[in-house]
Amino acid sequence: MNISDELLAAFVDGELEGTERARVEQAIAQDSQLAQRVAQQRALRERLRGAFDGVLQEAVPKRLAQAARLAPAPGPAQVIDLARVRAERARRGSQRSVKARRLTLAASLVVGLLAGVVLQRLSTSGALTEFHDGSLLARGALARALDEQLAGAAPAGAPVRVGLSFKSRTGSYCRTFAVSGNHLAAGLACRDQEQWQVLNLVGTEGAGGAGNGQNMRMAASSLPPALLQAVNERISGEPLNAAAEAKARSDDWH
Amino acid sequence: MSSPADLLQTRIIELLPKLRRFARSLTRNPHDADDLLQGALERALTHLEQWQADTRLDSWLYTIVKHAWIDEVRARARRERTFEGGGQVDDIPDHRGDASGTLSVEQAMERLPEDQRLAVALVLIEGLPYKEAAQIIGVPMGTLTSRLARGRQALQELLGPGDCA
Repeated sequence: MNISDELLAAFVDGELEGTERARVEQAIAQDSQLAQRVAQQRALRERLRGAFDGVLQEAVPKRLAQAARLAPAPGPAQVIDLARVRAERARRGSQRSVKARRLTLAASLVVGLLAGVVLQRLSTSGALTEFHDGSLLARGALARALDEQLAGAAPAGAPVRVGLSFKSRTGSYCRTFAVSGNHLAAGLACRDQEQWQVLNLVGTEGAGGAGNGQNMRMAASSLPPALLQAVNERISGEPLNAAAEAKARSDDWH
Repeated sequence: MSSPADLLQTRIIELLPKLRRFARSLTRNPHDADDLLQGALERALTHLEQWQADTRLDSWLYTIVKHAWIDEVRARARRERTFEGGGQVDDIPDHRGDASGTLSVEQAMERLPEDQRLAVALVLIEGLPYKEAAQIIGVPMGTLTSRLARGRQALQELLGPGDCA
């Protein structure tokens, strides 16, 4: 069998799977020249790694560790910047370009980062979100509400209100929520390996007064446009009705 | 209780050894490599909002190091043109050990054209999947695999067969 250099390289680089991988393995077993080529490629990889891996053991210079230090955690003043980011996103949204889509993602991350900080301040019982392996995960009262609360059935004064629940195109359950307090935020979380991953988090307007009731009603009754768009991008079919939602909860959102 | 910003910072610091290795495979001089990485980190932290939470943090940082490196290569090329009156655009090659098989791995890496060196560094040294490497370089998969193939071939020729017993 003829195995091209590129196929062989893909094999050595661990890029082949299933039958393709098995096919190459079989060919190697039957052809010593091929086995020799594989050995050469592996030897090259090892020589390269051997030449550069030493740096992994070196102490990282202080100046680099310092350069990696982030600015201090943003205070409330920076929350105002969210409005600017959203305005910028809305302005560019009309361009319908890849850049606009990236900006939307970037903006939702900024909002996520900052709102994450805000969310931590809302709850006396601890953080509502936590970064883990690059994902923003629901924690504390937010995680409990997503686990337990049926849509529209938040107890009076609850810090988190679940809006709607739906099944995503990838088959996982997702739920929208609103968090109230000095600053308001609404978001979308989807179930991922026993956790709620917060995929979108947007600040809502009117964070001026300390927890005034008008803002809470606004946050609970209407989804911000950015969040509505996120739901539309993910939803498969219709939102869950009350019965389907209760069933999903009893199945632990699997 | 850690804030998201603290956790992100911790993750970036954890990635520093790998980022240094990557920088060093691009530019052999360890000081240059750390300078390159320092500039890239400063760039990353002022553009933190551009990282998408659902993508790999390491890939995003590699991409920024790559950009910083390409800027550096262009600046060097400009300097060389300025001082030598044009012609030499190549990245300061090391002319020691011209005969095949007598180069060190670092010297051989330095001889590769930029595009091949990047592909080799990301896939063969950093061990990234093709898909991630192609995204970092900003080329289609087919382009990545052909650069990788040419880079491998050039390295084999420069380094000789080595011992692959």
